[in-house]
Amino acid sequence: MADRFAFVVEVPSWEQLSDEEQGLVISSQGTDADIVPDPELAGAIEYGRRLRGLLDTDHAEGLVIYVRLLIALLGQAGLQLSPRRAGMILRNILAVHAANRVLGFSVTFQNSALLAVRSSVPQLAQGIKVDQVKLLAAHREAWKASQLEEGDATISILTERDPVRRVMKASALESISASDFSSIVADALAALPPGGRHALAFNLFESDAASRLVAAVAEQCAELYTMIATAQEVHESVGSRSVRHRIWQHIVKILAQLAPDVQETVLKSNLLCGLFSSDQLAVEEDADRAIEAWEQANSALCLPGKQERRNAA
Amino acid sequence: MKAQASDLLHNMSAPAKTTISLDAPAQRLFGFGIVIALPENCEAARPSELLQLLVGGKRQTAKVAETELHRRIQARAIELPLPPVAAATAQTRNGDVECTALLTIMSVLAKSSSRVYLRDKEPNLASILPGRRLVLIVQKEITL
Repeated sequence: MADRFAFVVEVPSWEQLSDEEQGLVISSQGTDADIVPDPELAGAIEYGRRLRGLLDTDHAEGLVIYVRLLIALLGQAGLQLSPRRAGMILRNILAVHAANRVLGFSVTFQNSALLAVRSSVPQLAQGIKVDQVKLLAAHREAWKASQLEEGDATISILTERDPVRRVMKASALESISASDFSSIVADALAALPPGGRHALAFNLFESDAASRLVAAVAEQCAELYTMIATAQEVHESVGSRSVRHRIWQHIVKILAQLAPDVQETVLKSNLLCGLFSSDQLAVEEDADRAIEAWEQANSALCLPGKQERRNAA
Repeated sequence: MKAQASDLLHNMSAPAKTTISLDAPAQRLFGFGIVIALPENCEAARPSELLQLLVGGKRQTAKVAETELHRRIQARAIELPLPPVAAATAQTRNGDVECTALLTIMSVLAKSSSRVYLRDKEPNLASILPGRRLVLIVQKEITL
């Protein structure tokens, strides 16, 4: 039965509780917990889920080798784990490491894996004593053989082709210096099309990651952010049926299709009007492309502290 | 020949024009604005004048005033409930809140360019100028 549960966590037995703790258990009323929706927790979970996805992409291959070796070594040490458990261990490692990152704990990937493995042994629920020394030895050997190195996070950032994902990975890694983080952001801003780069700047300024930017890049992001966050005015005389006129008509058509009284509509209106005013739309299709790039980057981006700030607002 | 005559006629007339006009709403639809500017009657620009405005008393020498103002600005910036980085603009809107605390105004002006406020930036005392006006855009309403 225990093999069906992803995590198996040991709790202290009755004898291990202090007199006071035993008293609290005895006197507890068994009333329902006062559960209220917590948007901060929901934000942290969403951020963790995205991080887990990134870790999965980067480390799945190495982790598969690690888990395969670990299961074999634990089997040799007398601890038999099922194939279903093998898959759970892999997923647990990713989840524990993502959670450590979200909580801001500076824990190595190897230690996250060890914590996950220690909490993934179903024999614990059966009262079978698990030899922690053997488990640690198996973990170390499997880790070494799987060649999952600590530097992987940095390498993974450098080898990531997608600029948005590169910024997300860098923002999750506290050990990256402000200048390196800023270079990654500056490269991403240059690589992304209009709309996409605005979404990146907007999300950075809405998250804690902006505080890691050096002045020049913060300035660049602030300019893009301001275009999105402030209402734009357009006053221009154009030739009838000219390209400029047709672009404007197309913008009006796009905006008319958006839901009224929604914050996203306000931001998109500011984006299109700002791009039009600053002459960054050469043809009608550029407006569609900008909206598409905005939506794409916006949905992909999830940066630390963003949800918390939004909730505070 | 007929086609040529038609072209000639068209070229002789002024091309039709259309005016595109979109006014920004009077109030901010996103975020909150905090207006940062020295009081209108303030003419102080030198560190010694700014410090005197702040603490009163006798005017200090330039070096003493500069050091003291720098120290106070740094200390105030840490206390401020602002995010470490905030976008700045010149655009004011109805409902923007005007900051009246003198040291806060000096701190923000000293640590802002025309586009961004950076809490951890070294203060630039030369940017605390009478008439300089900034509007910080923040996500939540903050009282400074």
